[in-house]
This record gives sequence, structure tokens and C-alpha cells, in this order.
Amino acid sequence: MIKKTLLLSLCAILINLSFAAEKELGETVLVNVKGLVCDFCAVGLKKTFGKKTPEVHSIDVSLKEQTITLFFVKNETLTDKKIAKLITDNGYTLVSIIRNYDPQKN
Amino acid sequence: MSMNNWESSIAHYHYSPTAFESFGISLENYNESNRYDTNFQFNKLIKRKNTRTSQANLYLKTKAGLAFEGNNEYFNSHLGLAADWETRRYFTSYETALHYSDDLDNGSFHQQARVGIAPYIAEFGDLHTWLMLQVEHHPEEEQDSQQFIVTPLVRLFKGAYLTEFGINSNGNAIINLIIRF
Repeated sequence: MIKKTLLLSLCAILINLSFAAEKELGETVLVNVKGLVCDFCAVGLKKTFGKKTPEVHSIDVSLKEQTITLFFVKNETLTDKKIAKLITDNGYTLVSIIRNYDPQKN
Repeated sequence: MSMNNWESSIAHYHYSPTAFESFGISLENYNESNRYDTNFQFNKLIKRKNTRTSQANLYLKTKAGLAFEGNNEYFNSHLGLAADWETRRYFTSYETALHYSDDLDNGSFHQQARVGIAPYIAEFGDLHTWLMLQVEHHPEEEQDSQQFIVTPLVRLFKGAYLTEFGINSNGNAIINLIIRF
């Protein structure tokens, strides 16, 4: 019984910790590019906006729409200049950056 | 990256700080001899043309190192140009290369072209499938069957994993595997 209680308590603590570690979402930015035709090449974007930019919570890539959606951590962002550099370093041509994009409305 | 074809098995390890240059090492073992090539590699994207529906690239490919055969070792070098154009449906590529190894083959030239079509259009993260036809030209080969080699290929990729496999016109298998870390 004691073992079971301890085990349940440990699980509860771990679940709480995992929720605490989850960062809140902030601004969403839509980046329109040209040249985004190869899925395997675009994998680099996930690495770029994962490792090099802790400000970015997650990204979504659409080959059909030629867009990269950046979901930022709350109260964090990147300048247009920084986003442009990361996009061009990945070999894509930047078309536009749309701030405060709402995926639900579009 | 590992590549196995009718002539050799090659293992590459590459680091690409940006999409425009790539540094790497390679180890190549020739199937019908005890020859090994060890090379440093540098590839440079010379020109890229992006549009809303396509991407075209021109690359310079270089490698240099040592070739080993038995107790002998030789300087080994390779200079090539590669170009490709692709949409989400169609793929074409061409590459040509000069290869030189002291005393081994006194230099050789080869060229290779590919065309491909995707039977369905997949989105980012899905399994992508390509059906390809590769034609190699090795003018220094003595047998006609080795001068022109045709290989139908299937290319599959999903996420950071890409594989290609096929059987060439001489009945030999080609298997490529690329993993992005």
C-alpha cells in the first residue's frame, strides 16, 4: 500500500513537472517564401528554428502554401532581420513576414 | 549518408553550416578490388533559383585524399559540377565529374542524369515517394554494358530519413541511405 502511494505520488510530481516545463504560446508569425518544394530539405528549417532559436516554441511548414508558421514562446520574438537571415541561410527566398498572424482566421 | 552501387560502397559524413556549403569526409570501398578511397570533401552551392513552384541548383563538388590499394597509397582527387531542378511533382538532375588518382586509373570522367516523378503530392512530414530513372555514362569502361548504365530507382523519404533503391541494367543493386542529424 505504501509502495503504491509512493508510486502514485511520484507519477503526480512528474506530470506536474512536465506541465510546468511546457512553455506558453505567444505571437504567431507567418513567413512566405519561395523554393520550398522539397520536404527532405525543409527538415533543416525545423532544426534551425529548434536549436538556434529558443524564442521559437514550434514551427509548421506548408509545402503547398510555401509558408513557414513560427509559434513563439510567450513574450519572446525574433526581429524581421533575424528571421530573414535564418530563412536565407536555409536557402529559401523570403517573400514576406506577417506579424500577429491568426491561423484560425485564415 | 551511405551509398552502395555496382562499383563501390561509400560512407559520407557531412556538416552543412548553411545551405550554401558543406564539409565532409568519405570512405569508399571498390567492390571488385581491395581499393579504399578516403577523402575530405567540400561542396559549394554556386547558384540557386527559387520560385513559388520550383527550385534549381548548381553545385561545385570537390574531394581530395588518399587511395589505398594493397600496400600502395596514392593521391586521389575529384572535381565535379552538379545541377538539379525540381518541383513537388518533377525532378531532373545532371552531374559530371573528373576523377584522378596517381597510378591507379590515371584519371577518369563520368556523367550521370536523373529524371523523376512523384506519383502523389505529399505535404511536409508525410511519406514522400519518387519514381526515378538514372543514366550513367562511364566512357573509360571497356565493356558497352558498363559504359552506359540505366537504373530505375524508388526514392522514399520521411522526416530526416531518405532511402533510394533500384536494380541497374547489369542486374546490380543500388541502395542509398541519408540521415540528417
